[in-house]
Amino acid sequence: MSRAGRISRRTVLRGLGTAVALPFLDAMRPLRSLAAEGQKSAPTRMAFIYVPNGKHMPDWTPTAIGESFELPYIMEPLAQVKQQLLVVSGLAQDHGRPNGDGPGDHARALASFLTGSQPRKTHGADIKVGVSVDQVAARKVGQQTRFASLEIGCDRGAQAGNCDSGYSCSYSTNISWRSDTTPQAKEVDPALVFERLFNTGSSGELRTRREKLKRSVLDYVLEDAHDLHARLGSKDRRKLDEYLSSIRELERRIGQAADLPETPKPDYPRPTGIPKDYGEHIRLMYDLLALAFHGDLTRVATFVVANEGSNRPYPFIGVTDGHHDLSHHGGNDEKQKKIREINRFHVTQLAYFLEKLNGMSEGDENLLDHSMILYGSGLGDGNAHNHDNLPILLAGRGGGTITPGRHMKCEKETPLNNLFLSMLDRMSSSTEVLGDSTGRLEGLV
Amino acid sequence: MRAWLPLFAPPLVIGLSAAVLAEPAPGGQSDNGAAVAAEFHAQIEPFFTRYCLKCHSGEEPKGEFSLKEFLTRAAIVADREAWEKVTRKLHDREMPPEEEPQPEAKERERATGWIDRQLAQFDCGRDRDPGRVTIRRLNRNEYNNTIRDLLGVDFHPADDFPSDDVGYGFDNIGDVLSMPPILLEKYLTAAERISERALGTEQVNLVSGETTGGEILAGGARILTHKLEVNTPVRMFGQGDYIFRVRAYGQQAGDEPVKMAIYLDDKLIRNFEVKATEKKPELYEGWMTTKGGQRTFSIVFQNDYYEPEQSAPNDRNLIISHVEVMGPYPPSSRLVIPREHTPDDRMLVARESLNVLTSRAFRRPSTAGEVDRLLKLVELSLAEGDNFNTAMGVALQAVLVSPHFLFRVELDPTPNTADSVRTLSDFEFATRLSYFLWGSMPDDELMGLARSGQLRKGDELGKQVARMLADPKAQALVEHFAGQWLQLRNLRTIAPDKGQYPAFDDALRTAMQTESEMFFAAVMRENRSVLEFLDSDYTFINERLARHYGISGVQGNQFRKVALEPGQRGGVLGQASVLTVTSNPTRTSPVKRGKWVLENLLGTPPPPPPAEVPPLDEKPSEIAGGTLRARMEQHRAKADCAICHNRMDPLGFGLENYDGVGGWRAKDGPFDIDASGTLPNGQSFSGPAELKRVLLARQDDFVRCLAEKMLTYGLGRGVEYSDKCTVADVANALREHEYKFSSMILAIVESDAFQKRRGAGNPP
Repeated sequence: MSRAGRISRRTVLRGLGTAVALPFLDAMRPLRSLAAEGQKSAPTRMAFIYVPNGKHMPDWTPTAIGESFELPYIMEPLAQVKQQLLVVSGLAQDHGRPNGDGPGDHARALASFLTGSQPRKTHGADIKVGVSVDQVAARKVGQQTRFASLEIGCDRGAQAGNCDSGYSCSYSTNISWRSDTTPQAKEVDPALVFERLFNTGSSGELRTRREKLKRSVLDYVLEDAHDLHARLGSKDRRKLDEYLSSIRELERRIGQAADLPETPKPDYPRPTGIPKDYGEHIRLMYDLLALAFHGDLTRVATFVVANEGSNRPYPFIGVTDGHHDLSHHGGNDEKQKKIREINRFHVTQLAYFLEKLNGMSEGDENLLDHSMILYGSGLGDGNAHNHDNLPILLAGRGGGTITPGRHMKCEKETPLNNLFLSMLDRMSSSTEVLGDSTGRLEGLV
Repeated sequence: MRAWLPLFAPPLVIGLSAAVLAEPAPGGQSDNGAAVAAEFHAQIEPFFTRYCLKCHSGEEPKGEFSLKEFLTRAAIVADREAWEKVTRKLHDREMPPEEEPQPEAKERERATGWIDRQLAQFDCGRDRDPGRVTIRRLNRNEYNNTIRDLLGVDFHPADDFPSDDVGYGFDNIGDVLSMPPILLEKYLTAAERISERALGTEQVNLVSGETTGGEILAGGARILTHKLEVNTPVRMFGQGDYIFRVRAYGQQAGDEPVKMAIYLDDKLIRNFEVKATEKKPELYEGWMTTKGGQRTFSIVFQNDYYEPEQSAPNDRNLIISHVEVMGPYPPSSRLVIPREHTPDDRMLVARESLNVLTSRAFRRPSTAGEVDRLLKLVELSLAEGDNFNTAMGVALQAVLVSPHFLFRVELDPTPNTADSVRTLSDFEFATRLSYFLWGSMPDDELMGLARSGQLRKGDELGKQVARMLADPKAQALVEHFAGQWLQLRNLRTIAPDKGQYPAFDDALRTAMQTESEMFFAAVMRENRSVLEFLDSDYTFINERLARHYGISGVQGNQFRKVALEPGQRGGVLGQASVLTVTSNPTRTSPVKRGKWVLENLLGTPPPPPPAEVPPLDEKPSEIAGGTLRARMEQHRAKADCAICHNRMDPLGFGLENYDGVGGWRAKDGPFDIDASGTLPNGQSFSGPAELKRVLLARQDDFVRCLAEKMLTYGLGRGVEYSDKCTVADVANALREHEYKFSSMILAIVESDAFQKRRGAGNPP
C-alpha cells in the first residue's frame, strides 16, 4: 500500500539478504570462542530496538493467545518471519511512571526501558538512572568480540532547548547506560558505523607497529589521568572515572586485536552518509547491524529508531503531522489511523531486518535462530502515557532457548526486567537482579 | 535553575526597596512582617497542612523530609534551599503525588507564588558562593575550534563524534558531558588524523629519478671521495615547505668532521657536519620554502681530505645511503616543530617544541615531567625507524588524547572542602574567558597576559572583552549561544508540511538561520542594546527571505541590513526562524509560541501539563466558529488548564499573523486572523507590534532571563539558587549601561561565579 512498504531494488542488491550470501561466520569467528564453545553452537546475539511514542495498541496486540494468533494490522509486514516471533503482552516498566516525579513520561520511557530504574529528575546536575541490560551482557560477553556492544540510532541527540519537563535531554536520547551515570552515545551516520566496524586500518606488520605506538600513547595518557584523578574533587573524579574506564576498554580492544582474525571487508558498498530518505536510513542501519552480528564483531546492540518524544512527520506515507503531536490523539480516529501507519512503517523496516537475519545461514541454522531481537516502546498508548501493557516483540530463537511463533500474555504488572533477566541467562550473563526485576519470566520455551 | 525566580509574582526589583525586600532581622520582623505573618497563618500554613504533612511529618517522613520542622515563616528565609525545592516540586506538579488529593491550580499557584516572593527577598551584601563547575570536557564545537587554533588545521574532525548531550538548554554543561568508550575511540582516531594533517606524516618521497654522482658501493650507497656532488631529480608539487633528508655517514679523518651541504638547484638549503660513522648512519634534514616543479636536489661533499703519507685514518669521505624529499608540508608543522634540527640537537628541538605545544594545548605552562614522558614517546617512535615528523606526531597524539587537553582542568588545593573558595589562576581564568566568547583556547595575547599576571589588572579585562567580541572567533557565541537560546539549531531537523507550506525549502531554511545569526551578531559586534532582541527597526535578509516576508527591493543572495517598517517585523519574534521552530509541521501552535516566549524571553516557564489532558478537537466542522482560537478557548474553559494557558496562549495568539513558517498572513484558511490577547493581569494587545510593547514593558524579566541563559552558557553549569545575586548584578549592569551587550558579558566575567570556585559538596 505505501511507498515505504516497498524496499527498493537497490537496497536489496546492496543488502545481504538472500541475494548475496557471504561465508561470514566461519571465516570471521574468533578461533578462541570457537574453541571455548567446541562445536556446540554459534554464539547468541541480542539486540534492543526502540521506537518512540507508544503504539496504536488495538492494532498491535494479537487477539488470540498461543500459537494460533493472527498478525494484527501493524504486524502484518512480519508475515514471512511469523514463526520467529514471540509477542509478549502485559509487561510493565514501572519506573517509566512518575513515582512522585511529576510529568516527563517520554524521558522516563526511554531512560527506564532497558534499566528498569527511576531516572533522577534533573536538568543535568546529577544525572542518574541505572545500568542497562545490554551493558550487563556487554560486560560479560563483550570481551569475546571486537566491540563489546554497538549503539546506533537515526536521530542525533537534541541540539538545543529542553527535552521533557525538567529532564535532561540525556534521558530522552540515550537507551544504553554503561553505568548509572554514563550513557553510551549512539552513532547515527551509517558511513561512520561502517568505518568503525570494518576499517581496522592498515594490516600486517604496519598494523602491529601502529598498535604498539597507540598503546604507548594510551599508557601515557593513562598516567596523566591517574595523576589527575588523585587531585580532583569528588564530582570531577566521576568524569575522570568515565575517561579511565573508556581508556581501559580501548586498551583491551587493542590488546585483543592481535588474537582476533582481521575483519574482512564485507561485500557491501561503503555508505556515504545519512540518506535523505528516512526509511533508507533505517534499513542501512539494520544492514550494518546484521553485518556486525554475522561477522561476530559484536553480540550486543541497541538501536533507537527515533528518539523518545520525536515529532518527526512521515510525509512519505501520507502523515504530515508530527509523530508526538499525533500520539496525543485524544481518541480521534483520524489521528489514531495515522499513528498506526507510522507504527506499521517502523515494523516494515523491522521485517526487512528480521528477514535478512533469517536469510543469513550459520551452520545448519540461520542468524535469527541464534538471536534475541527485542522490539518495542516504553509507552503503551501515546495518549494515555501508560507504562504498562507495553508493546513488546521478541524475535529469534535465542540459540534454541526460546520457542517463538506464539503470543504470550503475562500477568498484569509483570516487570519488563523479568524478561531481561531471562534473556541474560541465554547470553551467559546471568544476574540475580536487574533494576526492578522480581524474578525470571517463565514460558519463553 | 529557575525556581527561585518569582514565577507568578509581579517582577521584583532586587535591592530596590528596603521596605519590601529587607530580610527580617534575626528574631524580629521587618516593617511588613506582620502582614506577611498573617498571610502565612491564614493561607500558607493550612495549604501545607492539608496537602503535605500527611506524609512529610512524623517519625519516618516520606523522602526523609519532614516539612513540619520547616513550616514557619522564619524557616522560609533561613532554609531557602529546602524551600526552593518545595516550591519547585509544587510548581512542577511533582507533589503531591498523583494518588493523593490535589490542590486546585489556583491554590497551588497562590502557595508557590507566596513562597517565591519570600525567597526573592535576599541580601546580596554577604560573601557570594561562586559555586563549583564540574570539570568540562571540550564539546564537539570546542574541539573543532581548539584544533583549528592550536594547529592551524581546520577540517572539523569532531563532526564525526557522537552528539553532546544537552542540559539546562545548552551542550556545554560539565555535568552532562560524558565520555563513553566510543568517544575516546573517536578521539584516538581524530588524533591520528590530525597529526597526519598537521605534520604531514603521510607525505611520500618526491624523488623522481636515478641519483647520479659518486661511486656506488655494495648495497647501493654512494661514496664521495673527492670534493664533488650527487644529484637527484625531484618532482615537487606547488609552493610550500619541503623537507630534504639525507641518510649519511662519514669516513672521518683529519682535524674536522665531514662537511656536507645540500642544495635545491643552486640554492643552499643547509650545511651539516656529518659526525656519524659507518656504525650508525644518521638522518640529516633541512627545510626550504619553495615553489614546485622539476628540480634537482644536490648533496655536496665540502672538505675532501686525503693524506696518504699520514697514518690512518687519512682519507675523509662522505657516504650517502638514502635521499628523500617530502612536502609540501602544511604551515601547521611549523607550529609543532618551530625549527630545524641536526642529529646532535634533535632531542633538544623535540623538547623545546613539546614544551611550547603542551603549554598551548593544556592552556597553562607545561611541567617538566609531562614533557619528559612525551620525549620517551618520540624516542620510541624514532627507534622504530620513523622520521622526526612522524615521531613528533606520536607525541602530538598523546597530547590530544590527554585528559589535560580534553578536559578544562581547574585544580584546587583542597578540592573537597566546600567552604574553601579560591580565585582562579590567570591561566584558568583566561581559559574560561576564551571558551565562553570564542568556544576555543586562549590566543597568545591572552596567554601572555596570564603569564605576566596583567589580565585582571586595571581596565585590561574590559579591553580584552571588547577585543574578543570584535574578533571573528566570537562567531562561536552567535552559533552556539544564540543557536541554542533561540533554538535556531532545531531548524536543521524541522520538516514543515510541503502541502501547507509549498514555499519552504532548504534555501529558505538556511536563510532563516542566517537572518537570526546576523541579527544576533550585529547586536554583539556593534555593542547595541539587548532590548533590540525584543524589538528592532532593522533586520538582515536576502532576496529569498525578502520574498517570504513580502519586502520589496531586495535582490540577490547576499544578506544585507534593511530598515523595517513598524508593524510586521523586528526583534526575534518577527523572525521566521523562531516562528518556524515553534510551530507544528502542519499549523502554527500558539501554545508552543507562548511557552517559548515565557521560557526564553521572560524566564518564567509554565509548569508542565497535568497527567490527564482533554485533547484539542482538530475537526473544525464540529465546533462552532471553527478557528484554532475557538478550539483552544474551549480547552481553556477548564479551570485546571486555564491557569497556565491563560499565560501562554495570549502570547502565542499575538503572533498568529505569522504562519507556521513565519510568513505574514491575514487569514487562516477561511477565517480572519484574530491576533488579540489578554494576559492574566488584564493587559490587552492585538498583533505582534502591540505584543512587543507589552514585552518591552517587562524588560526587567527579559534582561534577567537573558542574563541567566548567558551565565549558564558561560559557566557551563545550571544557574542555582546561590547565583541569584550574580544574575541581579548582570541585570543591573545592563540597566546602567543602556542595555549594551558588552556590559552583560563584562558583568558575567567579572562576577565571583566566573572568577572563583569552591570545593565540592554543599557549602555550610
